[in-house]
Amino acid sequence: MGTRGGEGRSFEDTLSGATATFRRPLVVAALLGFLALIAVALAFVWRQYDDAKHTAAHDLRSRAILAATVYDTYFHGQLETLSAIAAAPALTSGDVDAMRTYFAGFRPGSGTSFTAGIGWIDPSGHQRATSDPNGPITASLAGRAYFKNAYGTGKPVVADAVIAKQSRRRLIVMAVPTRGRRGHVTGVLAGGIVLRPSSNDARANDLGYAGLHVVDASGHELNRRDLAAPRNSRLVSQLERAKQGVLIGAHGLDGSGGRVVAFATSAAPKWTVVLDQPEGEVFGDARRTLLREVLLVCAAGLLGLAFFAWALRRARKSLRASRAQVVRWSGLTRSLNGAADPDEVYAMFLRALAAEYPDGVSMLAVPSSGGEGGVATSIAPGSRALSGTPPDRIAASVVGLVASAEDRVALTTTEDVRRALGVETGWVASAYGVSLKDGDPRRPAVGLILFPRERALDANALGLLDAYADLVEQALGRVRRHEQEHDAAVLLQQSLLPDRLPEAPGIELAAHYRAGAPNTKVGGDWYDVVVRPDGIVHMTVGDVAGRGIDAAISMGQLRNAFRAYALEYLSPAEVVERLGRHVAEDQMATTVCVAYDPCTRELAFASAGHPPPLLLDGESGEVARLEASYRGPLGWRSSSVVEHRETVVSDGTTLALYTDGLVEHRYVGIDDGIDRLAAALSGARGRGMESAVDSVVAEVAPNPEDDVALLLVSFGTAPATLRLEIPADPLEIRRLRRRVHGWLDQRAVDEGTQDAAVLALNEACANSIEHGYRGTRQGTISIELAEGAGVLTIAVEDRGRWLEPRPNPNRGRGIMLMRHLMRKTEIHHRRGGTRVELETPV
Amino acid sequence: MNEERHVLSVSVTEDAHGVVVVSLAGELDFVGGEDLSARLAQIPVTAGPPVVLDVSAVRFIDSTGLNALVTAARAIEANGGSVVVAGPSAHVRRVFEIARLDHSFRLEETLEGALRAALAAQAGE
Repeated sequence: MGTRGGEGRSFEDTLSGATATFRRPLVVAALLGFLALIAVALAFVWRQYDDAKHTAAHDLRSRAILAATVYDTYFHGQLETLSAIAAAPALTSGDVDAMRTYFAGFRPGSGTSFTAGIGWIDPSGHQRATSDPNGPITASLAGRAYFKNAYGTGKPVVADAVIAKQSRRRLIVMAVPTRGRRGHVTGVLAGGIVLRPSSNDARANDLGYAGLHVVDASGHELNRRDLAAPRNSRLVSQLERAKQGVLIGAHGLDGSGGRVVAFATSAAPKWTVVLDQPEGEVFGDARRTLLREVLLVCAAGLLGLAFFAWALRRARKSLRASRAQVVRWSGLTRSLNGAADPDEVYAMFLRALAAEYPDGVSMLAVPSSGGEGGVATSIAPGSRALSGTPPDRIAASVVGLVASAEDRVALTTTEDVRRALGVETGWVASAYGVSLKDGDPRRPAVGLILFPRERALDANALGLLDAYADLVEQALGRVRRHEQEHDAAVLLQQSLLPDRLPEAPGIELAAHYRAGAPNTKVGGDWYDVVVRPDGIVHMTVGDVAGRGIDAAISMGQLRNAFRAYALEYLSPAEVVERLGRHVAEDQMATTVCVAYDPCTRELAFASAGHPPPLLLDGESGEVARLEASYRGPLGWRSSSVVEHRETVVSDGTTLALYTDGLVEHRYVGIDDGIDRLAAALSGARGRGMESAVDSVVAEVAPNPEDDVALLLVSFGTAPATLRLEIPADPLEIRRLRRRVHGWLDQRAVDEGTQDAAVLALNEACANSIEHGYRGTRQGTISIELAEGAGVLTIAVEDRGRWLEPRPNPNRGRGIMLMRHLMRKTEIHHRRGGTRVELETPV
Repeated sequence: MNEERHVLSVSVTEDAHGVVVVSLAGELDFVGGEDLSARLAQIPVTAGPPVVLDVSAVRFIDSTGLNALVTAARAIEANGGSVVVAGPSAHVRRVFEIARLDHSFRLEETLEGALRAALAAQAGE
């Protein structure tokens, strides 16, 4: 298929390539790979965030350590200062007054760092000298921790923060032991620092010291005015256990969660510096970075997916277009299978073209002779009206063009079209022409597809058009073959029925036959008329059960059998009996056979289960049924068939033989159906036979789906001439005599002449037997009788060889009888046989 | 039409006087002739009785029928009997005439006449 183009792929290949299943696994793999990439990027981003968080946390810890170090340094300094003061001569001498004087220089406002003043406490715990202008504290300070610590250990100490009773100020007290000249501890020098409330120093916050808390060794939070312990005591104990560190996601000092707690211990004051900041602040940057990067990755991912989707959509669209083409293609193939004639093929083709080229297309199919007989231009239905039609002159040019191209022709521009066809083509802008064998190799046609727009007609488009052309060609061939087969089938069917009724002397015949099954010409019904050589006419109708061709086949066999038996057997009963042998066990058939002798005008009939023939009296219009004694249908093993006889018919009598399709009505019994038929027959008398038979069927046949056969026989008087052939047998001669008497009666010949003529005829026939056939009783005798113009002539002819016999007195007497009975007797011996001619006046 | 009824019927009776009456009815043709010969052969011919052939009911006779009659008559006469043909129809008589048998056979118009003639012939011997 698709061998027209020659080069390139066939249309089928192109189509199948385009519609190959869209390699789903590959697509899925690509998608998954892309998503994996995105996932990896996101994981990386997350890792970065994690790292950033850790860095920020450690950063905080570093700051805490730094702060602790600062405090450390500060307090070391302070302790150094205090120790220096303790080494002053005033203190080492133990001179309280000197101390007082010395301490006066340390009054608040003097610029000293000991903002809460300094004082000397003697070993009993009483403050003896102070910088406070109000004088020394009267209460005993022996129980104070700093005193006990410094005095006991002899080491400088920084006490925990306290709140002064009177002033309510927060103080940090430092104490160093004072030593005498000998180095023994003489007392404790204490200095106090007032804790200022922490200020929200913006600068400190900027440096990342927001949330700075200091907790001293006894758990006082020095930031707080009331020096209360932080709420989160667990945290505090945790901090005390570890010297420094950073906790992420812990509960802060106030107990609130989600905080980063960096801490470091300052050794000198035994303070823990805590930087307690919400995670949001600490990780803010990291989070922002994370967000940004995630957004970036997501944006990139989305872009990638969008691109992916776009590419997919495009591929799908092209796939859909190809699939639509395939659908159109297979639609055309299917509908072409149902096309019944070439016109339908072209119409379907045009519809497919219109679907394929919705912006307009026209088709022209011409016989290759270029003359008439081609299909006229067809414009695709649904196209907008193409203005004008190509002139018919195009047809001839087209044919020439395609024939010379040998293959096919594609013209893609208006200029090409004009140049190639040599005529102005009106609206045609591009064309495709191809030769189509119309199914008849003697009558190839040329198909031309015309487009109102210039079409590229690339390899794919050409492939498609070529493929279409192939399809159309095949369809045309198929349609033609089908037509031929159909014609043959019709002919065959028609052969199953008699095409013409025979000429029979003395009777007129007319028949109507209709097959019930649709699209068939024959069915299970049949009718036939056989004129035997002896002049007797056998008439029959029959009915094989079933419809359509199967029944017709059985019917053909029965009809042929009838024809054979009708010639062989005189009695209708014998014919019917033997017909029964041709019916298979599972078949059912009925028939009636009527024998008519034009000489004696006698009817005999026999029936096998068939509706009774009707006899219409031409004058009175009365209809009688020829009833047979009941016998089952053909083939039923029952008693032998009975022959029935009816008396002589008279002029104008009509016999009707019919099948049950004519009398079987749905809600009416057969009897009533027969009555209706009888009435119709009666009503139709006086009409010509042909019109009568048709009108009766039209009036009576109720069901168009039933087979119907009606045979009408009208009986007239015997003709003036009679031709018979009988077997050379004495019994036949005996029969012949009776029949000839009957004919002579009809010809109104008087009795005496009849007797003489019959006897003479008898003798002539006897001679044929004796001489011609040497008594072997084989062979036939031809007899011709003619009566008219006052003369009766009889001719008897055989085809035997005349032998002079041994003297046989009979024969001598016979000839003598002939010569005496007849006016003229002539005996002619010929090589082919003997002919006896007799003549007598009537 | 195709009746196979016996076209010729032959019945043989004897009247009070010992005359054998052969009544023929039907068609005396080739087939009938055979029937006749067969039946006549059954007549006891020892004594050579007078025989009356009653052909009043014979509708047809042809050359073969004639032959049968002639043969039968000769056989009867050879045995000392005599033959009288009774009641031939006009046609049958004519056939006899044409065949010149009207003088060979004694033809009587009626059966009674034939019976008398037969008796007379016998008595005349």
